[in-house]
Amino acid sequence: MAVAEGQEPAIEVKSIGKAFGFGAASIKALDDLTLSIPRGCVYGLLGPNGAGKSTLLRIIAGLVRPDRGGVSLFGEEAGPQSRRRIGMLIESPSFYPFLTAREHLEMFARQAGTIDRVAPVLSRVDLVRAADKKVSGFSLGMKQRLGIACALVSQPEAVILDEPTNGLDPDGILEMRALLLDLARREGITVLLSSHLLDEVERVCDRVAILRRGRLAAEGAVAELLDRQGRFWLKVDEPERVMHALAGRGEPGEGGLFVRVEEAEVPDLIRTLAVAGIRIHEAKWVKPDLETVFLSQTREVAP
Amino acid sequence: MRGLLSGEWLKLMRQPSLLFWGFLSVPLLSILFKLLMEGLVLMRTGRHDDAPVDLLLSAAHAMGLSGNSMGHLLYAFGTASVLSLEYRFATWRLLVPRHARGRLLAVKFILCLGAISAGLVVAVLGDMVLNAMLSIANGMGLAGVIVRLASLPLLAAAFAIALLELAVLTALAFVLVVATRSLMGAVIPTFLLAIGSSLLQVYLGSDSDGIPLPAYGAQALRDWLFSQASVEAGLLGLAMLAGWLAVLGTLMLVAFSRQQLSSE
Repeated sequence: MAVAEGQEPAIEVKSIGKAFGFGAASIKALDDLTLSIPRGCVYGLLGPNGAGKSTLLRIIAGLVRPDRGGVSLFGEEAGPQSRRRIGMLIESPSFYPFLTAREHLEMFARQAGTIDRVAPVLSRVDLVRAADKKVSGFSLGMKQRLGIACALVSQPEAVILDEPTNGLDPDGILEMRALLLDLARREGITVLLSSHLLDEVERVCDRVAILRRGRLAAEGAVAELLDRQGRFWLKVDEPERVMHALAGRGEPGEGGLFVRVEEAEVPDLIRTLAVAGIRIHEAKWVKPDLETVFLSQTREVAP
Repeated sequence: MRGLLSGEWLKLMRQPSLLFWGFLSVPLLSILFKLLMEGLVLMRTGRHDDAPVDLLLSAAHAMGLSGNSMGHLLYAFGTASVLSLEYRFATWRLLVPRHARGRLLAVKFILCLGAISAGLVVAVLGDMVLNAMLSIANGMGLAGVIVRLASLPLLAAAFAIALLELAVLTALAFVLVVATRSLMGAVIPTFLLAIGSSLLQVYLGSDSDGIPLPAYGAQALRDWLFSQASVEAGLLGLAMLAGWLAVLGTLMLVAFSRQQLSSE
């Protein structure tokens, strides 16, 4: 990750609150949400449907006003001027069906003064052959590519991509992954993406934020989040006895138990079990994948 | 601003049916209507007016097309479409992040006025060509038409009145599109206002003059220009139109700048 130290974050969301509807029917989409996305980072935004991801992206894009709180982009208060430093693909890609892909890109490039970027961007998203076809005939995957091209054509310092792999075939997903990594690693562009493909996020993102009911459920570097939820697996002769001795820190597993324990405490734990005469057949760290972390953070707790 | 305007122009050029029906059909249909009327009179009676026609004065009278109720329907369709397509195709998300909302509306408004002006120029030129053709058809050659430069200010004033009246219509259509986020939500009320104004005028006669509707304001200005009505009545008409434009302009800017584009 090429995160620039000592600089203003690329995107900063401060105590954002947003509710839709009035009175009893009011729904809190975002509730006092604060996030900071460092420059040069690939940042994943995760959450189940209705968690507030799209509302957050729409607020950053200036399409929706927050009830309270604010957004800063590269240290400036978010506004049309500062948003010109950002390329966006918000929700499903939307275009003028009567224009061609090239006309779309030329239109936005002319507004940004980057007309010379049209051809390279078309080539980068593999739309050269379809460049002069009207968008009305495009498949979802082609529209997705064009949406990303529109986000890139203005030579942004950061891109916000909502479900960028949506509608892409497996090859397209691989290309998209390579493109996102290339943008961040080679060009130093900050990437904020939301996705439901947790495997993709785990492979591509440096940091993630997990939203739940408009609030931040978890946030941090991907490796850190996985480590935080890592558990120690013990296959022993008398798991019930060990469970009892660990007083709530253990969870039963098949033929053994998982123990919530700090890495530094492991030698003491093993020594204690050995002294107590418990035979240990297997002992290892089990690190979860992002899906497990996601589910543990977003699942409703039964009352 | 120039980049935005060229983008809006491109969008309009790529929708030929909108360009035709929304901005050019009224002038072209008014020329066609005049041709049919003149042709009908000539065929039925075999008579024609021997007096030479002042091309500029005739063209100034042709600017009255801006007060036609059916014309308002077509213009409302054109102007409302320019704005409503951003809601229809959910494309505000491509524009709003990078540009001030007021500027986006201003550019679309300027585009509509530009297209309306082009249509009015077509009406002026079409009227001139038609008069010249009728003169030739009547066997008078080009001696049947004259160009009095003294009529030029009259033509300019008539053009400005037509443009002002249609600017008010555009502003009304814009306000309604922003409020309803739909094309029909703007076109139908705008047409109903035009028809309602005409019907009210028929029922109330001169009593309708005191009602501050845009159509009456424009009519008062035309009466002052062509029928030697009082200057006060003309100024009142101008104030009425300017007031409508100012109120509607403010309304559309305030409504759009505060609008949540959560679903477009």
